[in-house]
Order: sequence, then structure tokens, then C-alpha cells
Amino acid sequence: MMIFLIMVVVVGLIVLLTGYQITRAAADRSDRTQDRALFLLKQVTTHPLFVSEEGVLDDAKLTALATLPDGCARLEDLFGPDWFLEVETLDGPGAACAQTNYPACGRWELCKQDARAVAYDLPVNVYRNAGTILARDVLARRDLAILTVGVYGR
Amino acid sequence: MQSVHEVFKLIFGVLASILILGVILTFVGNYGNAQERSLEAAALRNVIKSAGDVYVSGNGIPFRGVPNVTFLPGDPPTFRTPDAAVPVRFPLFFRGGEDLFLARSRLDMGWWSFSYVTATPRLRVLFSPVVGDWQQVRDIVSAFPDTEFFDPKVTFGVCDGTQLREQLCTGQACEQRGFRDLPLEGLFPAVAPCTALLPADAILITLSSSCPQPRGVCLTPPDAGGIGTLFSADRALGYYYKDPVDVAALAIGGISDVTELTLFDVKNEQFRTELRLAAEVLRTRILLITPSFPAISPCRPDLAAFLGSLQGLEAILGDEAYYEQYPSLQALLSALGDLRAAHESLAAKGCDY
Repeated sequence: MMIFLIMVVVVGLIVLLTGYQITRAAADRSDRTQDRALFLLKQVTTHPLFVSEEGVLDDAKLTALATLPDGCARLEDLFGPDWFLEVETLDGPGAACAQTNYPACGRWELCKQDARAVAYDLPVNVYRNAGTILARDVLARRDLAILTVGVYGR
Repeated sequence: MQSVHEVFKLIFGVLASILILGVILTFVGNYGNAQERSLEAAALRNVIKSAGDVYVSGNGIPFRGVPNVTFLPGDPPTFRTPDAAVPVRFPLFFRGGEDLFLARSRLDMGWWSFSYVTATPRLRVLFSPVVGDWQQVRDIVSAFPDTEFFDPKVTFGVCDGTQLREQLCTGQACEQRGFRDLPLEGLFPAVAPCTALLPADAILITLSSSCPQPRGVCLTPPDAGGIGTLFSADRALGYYYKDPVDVAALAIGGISDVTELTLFDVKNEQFRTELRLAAEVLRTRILLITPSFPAISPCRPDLAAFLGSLQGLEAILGDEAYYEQYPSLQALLSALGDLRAAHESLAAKGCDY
């Protein structure tokens, strides 16, 4: 009887510790996903593929990336798989940007899927090409937008 | 005298105790190992996370307590411990050590800059410019990290025959800026081939017209097209190099025992992937913004020239083995030069940022 009770206690402890390890592994995985989403957010706001200067997204670059035939696959080669980016201006036209309606648009989506994701939002400036002065000097304005960067899967 | 039943109970009790103890000890042993490996994997992730923060911020940091990891060049490059494999999704030049300095450097091409992170332990970079091209030495020094105010240090010196000349900056070992500012042409009018015994933390970079049996890394001066040849002591075949970052990648990374790839291969593949996408994005961008310039705009010819050079660059970088072929590299350097000139003209005229 005593031996049986001791065995029950030992098995119980083993199950408890194993369960704790599984829970911790799941928590670690969730932390890694969040860290990756945050890192991608920082990369998008600083990498010259997206910005005209640090912290300012370039609308023409975003439109180019959003309309490249294999843009998502090419971005995944550089930044890894299973992530997305969304930018939406707060003012102005809200249409999704394509090469046909640029610059009269205000929304860009890259690698968007219908799946659960961990995402971060950040207010950003977007450099908009608004024509030229004296046929030469670029007239630019900056629109306020919300940048959302997320990683799929939990 | 005890009965048979009592003896049986005693023996059974002993055996059961041994079994329970065995199970407990086995579990504790496995659990302990799993915890240790989990801590190692967490430490590895911290290194990568810190390197990533350096990549986006540009602020260098020291990192202490790096776990014993294997760095595998590949697509993507991966760090491995016995229980974890973490891919690295940005250019990272890694050299193992317990304490590292993480720093970001850039290859500035004018219209684009290629950023990379170096993770280096204490390093003594020694130059042996048998062919005395000190400007090229300075360019290579710029590709290494600047460890001023930080530890561990990356210092620079000269190996002249049997002598190691390192205390060149007011009696101290030179860091990046100090070494670049030295009047090296006057201090070393001629340098003998290096035959000195090198310390374990030294990297020897020789500049010579030929590299028959290189120690460390040996390079021949670039030709009129800007391309030279690079040799490593670990590998019989040479490489073509086109910029100082190629030299730094090979010097810092060496050759993997597992994959036989080098950081040189990884750097050039990452360079190709990034630049090819950049060329396509910027080409589309130019097509999008050009209609906003009137037909008579002085910007139009420069925009057209920039566009043409970007198209040429895309075609060159379509070949994965571009960095192993002299004609491709020649065309690449020519296209990059044209792009730099076109971009400078656009910026000077106020046509683009």
C-alpha cells in the first residue's frame, strides 16, 4: 500500500513537471512570435525597401511592392515567411493602391492572408509624391497613416 | 526467525525502492539536461534578438555570455545548438567567442546602402600590404566594426616581416578611426611579407600581386574594372571580390566545416536578393513618379538614365552565380557606377530625394 502511494506521488510529480514544461514551451513560442512581429515592425520602418528616410514610408515603394507579381515571395526571401504588412492613411482616398490609380489611393497590403496573427500597429508618416514645382522640384507631402505588421500563427 | 512472507515483503520493498529511486533519478537527470538546453536555446535567441536590434537601430552593443553555437552559412544562415536552430533573416557576419561586440556597418552605393551586422570577439586585424595600396587597406578597415568606447575590441596593425606593429596610435593599439587616420604611406614605405608567429585572435590580410600559399586571407589588387582575387588559407580556389565587404566577410567568417560555404557566399547571395528586389521596386517607383514631371522637365533624362541602369542591374543579378563570373561582376560594377552617377544628378537637381 505504501509503495503504491509513493508510486502515485512520483508519477504525479512527473506529470506535473512535464505539464509545466509543455506550458512553458507554448509560452516561449508565443513570445518568439511577438518578438518577431516587433522586429519586423522595426525593419519595415527603417529598411530602404519601404522608406524614403527612417520612419517615413514611401508611397511609390509601397505601391511597387504591393503590385509586384511575386512581391510577397520576394519579401519572404528577405524577411522570412508568414508575415504581413498593412498601411492605411488616415486622410485622403482610401482605395487600395495599384499602378493605375497611384497616387490617388491610400491603402497598401502585402502578404495578407485570412489567418490568425500577432500584430502591432504604429502611426507613421507616408511620403506622398504630389507633383512638381517649376517642372523640376518635387512637391512632396506627408500623410499620417497606421502601419500594421503581423506574424501568422500562434 | 522471520517467516517467508516477511522476507518476501522485505525483498519486494527493496526492489520497489530501487525502481522508484531509478525512475526519480532518471527523470531528474533528463529534466536537468532539458533545462540546461532550454537555457542555451534562450541565450542563443537573445544573441539573435540583440543582433537584430543592432541591425535596425545602428547602435552597437557588447554581448556577454554567448552560448557555444554552430553557425551554418546557408539560405537562410542558421545558428544551432543541440536543441535549437534559429534562422537569421538579416546579413550577419559572425565569429564565435564568449564575449562579442555587435555593430552595424554599411556599404554605401549612393542610391542604395547594404547594411550588415558584425558579431566579433576580440580581434587583431593585421595587414601585410606587400603591394603597398594603403587606400585599399583603409577601405577594408572601414568594413570592420568600430569598437571605440566598447569591448571586446577590434584593433588594426601591420605585420612587417617578423614584426607585428600594432601600438601605432600614441603607444596604443589602433581602432578603426585611429588606424585610418595614420600616415601609413610614410610609416611603412615598404612592407616585407609576413612571417611572424600570429596570436590566436589575429586575422592576417595580405595584399600581394600573387597569393600562392596564403596565410589567413590574401588578395590581389583590383584591376582597372575594380575586381580583384581573394584567397583563403582554408580553400584552394580563389574568389573574385568587388568591394571591401567581400574581404571582411571572408576574413571574419572563414569557411564552415559543415556546409563548406563561406560568409562570402552568404553575403553575396543576400546582396543579390536584396539588390535585385530593390532594383525592381525602384524601377517601378520611377515609372510611377515620372508622369508627375512635365515633358520639358530637366529631370526626365536623368530619370530615364536611372531607369535604364536599374533594368540592367536586374538582368545581371538574375544569375545566382553572378559573383563567381568575371564578366557579370564587370557589368555589375559598371551598372552600380552608372546608378550612383544618375542618382547624384537627380538629387543635385532636386528631382528626387
